[in-house]
Amino acid sequence: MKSSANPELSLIAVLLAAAILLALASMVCGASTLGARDAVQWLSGSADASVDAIFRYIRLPRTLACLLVGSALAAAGLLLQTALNNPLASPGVIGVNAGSGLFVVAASILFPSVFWVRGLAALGGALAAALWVYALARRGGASRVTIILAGVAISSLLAAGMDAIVTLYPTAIMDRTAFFIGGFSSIYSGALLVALPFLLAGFLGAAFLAGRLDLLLLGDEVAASLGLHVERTRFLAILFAAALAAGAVSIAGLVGFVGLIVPHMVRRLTGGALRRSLPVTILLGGCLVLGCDLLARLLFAPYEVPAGILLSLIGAPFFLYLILNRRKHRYDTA
Amino acid sequence: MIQLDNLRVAFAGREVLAQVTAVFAPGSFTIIVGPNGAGKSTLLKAMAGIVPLAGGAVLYNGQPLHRMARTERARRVAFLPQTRPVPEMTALDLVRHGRYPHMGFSKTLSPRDHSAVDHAVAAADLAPLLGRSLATLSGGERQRAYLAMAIAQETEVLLLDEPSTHLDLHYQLELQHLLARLHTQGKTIIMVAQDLPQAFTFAQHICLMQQGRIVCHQPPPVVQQSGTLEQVFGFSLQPVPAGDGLLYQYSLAPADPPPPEETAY
Repeated sequence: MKSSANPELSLIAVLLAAAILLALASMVCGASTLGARDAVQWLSGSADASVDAIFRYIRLPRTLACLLVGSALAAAGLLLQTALNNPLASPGVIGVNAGSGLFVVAASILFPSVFWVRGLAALGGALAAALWVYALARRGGASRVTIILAGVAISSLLAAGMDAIVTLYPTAIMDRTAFFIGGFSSIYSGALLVALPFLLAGFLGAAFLAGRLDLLLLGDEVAASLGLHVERTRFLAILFAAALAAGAVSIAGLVGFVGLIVPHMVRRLTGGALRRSLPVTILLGGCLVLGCDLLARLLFAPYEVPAGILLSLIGAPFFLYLILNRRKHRYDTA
Repeated sequence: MIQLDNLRVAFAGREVLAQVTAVFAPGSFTIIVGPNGAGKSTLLKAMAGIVPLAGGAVLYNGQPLHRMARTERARRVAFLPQTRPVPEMTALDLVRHGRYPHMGFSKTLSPRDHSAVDHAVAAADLAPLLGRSLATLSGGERQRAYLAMAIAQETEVLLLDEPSTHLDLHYQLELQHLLARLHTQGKTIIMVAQDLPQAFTFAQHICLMQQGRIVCHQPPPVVQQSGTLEQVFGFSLQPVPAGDGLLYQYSLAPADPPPPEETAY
């Protein structure tokens, strides 16, 4: 009983070490031939201007972006899977993908030459869609099922809007495609700064919910009888998940499957309680995305595969595996 | 003491509890019986404070339940519904959730919480199962784990909705012993049950319900002699002296004998 925290602590230490190693690798590998020696020179301040620019404006933002996006999507997935008690939940189910997609496409038509506006549009669209889904579900009692159904309905509505725009303005299709594949090849630090407050709020919120959200797994009645404000807790989980996912999509577009698979991997590793699984999920999410992006850069160097494609290639088989091995939801009437 | 004062509950305009007034003494053991749809589960949920009231009040020692903070309410009354999910967690994690209303903002377990969990585990004889995932336990073992969670909650009142239905006889007896132990330790226990002979044999008070009302709320012998059982169920129970108490069994002579053409088979 007393030593139950130890396995997670060693897991956290291993993942932390992995994250640091991957981050170092991400700093010294890339399209240009700059390597470890240049990195050391850059750190000591004796690198020339072009080397400095590559490290400062390309590799550092990209490394940070991978870590942040991976952690945020994984944490958002964990919050949603727990709050909705649904192992297949990911940010997409609360309308985040469709909402940000619509806003990005609309922004690329309205402000075709202002490229940074797309990150803001993704952020706003994701948050607006999630809040709309919740507001709608609330009329039906905001139960797990109504939230998921409202998410499906709103997502298809927003997707129809996006398709309508693309039909009328075929030029928007390029932005749509880039956004939907997701990747880290054109990260700039401004996008990180805009997303950072949302990500921070989301991570803090997730930590706040860590001791509370698990109660929802006992069913709404038991959770309420234990003194939990069921509806508020579920709303906060959706709000924080939306903030995390919105921050992530504003940085890198739709990076698929991270939010879905990482919580499942962690569940196999730690089992159960959110307080134990949340830090592991955050670290593993960051490692996974950073590792995939590194592969995406190195596999066909100097050409790049978008990291989103690589993640889907890994994610889709895992998703199938999940469906085939899913334990049925069980209820006792005893 | 729990007082129900003109309690009314309605779902979608349909009245489920109509002007229910009753008193449950501290340390009493009451079993609520009645046909399906009589409002038994709803009454229990209203006493747990988890359904909105259409009128009236539930008072714990004179204080209305709906004015209490959620966690304060959860420190006074524990509730186990009839249908409970089987979440992916260990039995120990489940029992620890019983401490939720006692924990502070950080929701971490204090030494006091740990000792309450240990006590509940011992009371429910759960120690060998603690590390097991709930999904790998039998229905009876899971029932005991949930009960340990409710014990860890350290409330004066324990509300149970059909805790023994669908359990095999072995677990039913085990549960009965556990509840009897909790009762002698001073807990007020109010539960819903289907098995009438068992309820009458076991309970201190019987609360007979029909169509959202309490028809009779008395000790078992009084209810048995009142004629309300025949009125509600169409049959009666018969007491049989056993040791220093009474056992109840279904009365062999039905109040209204069925017409002969139906018994001819």
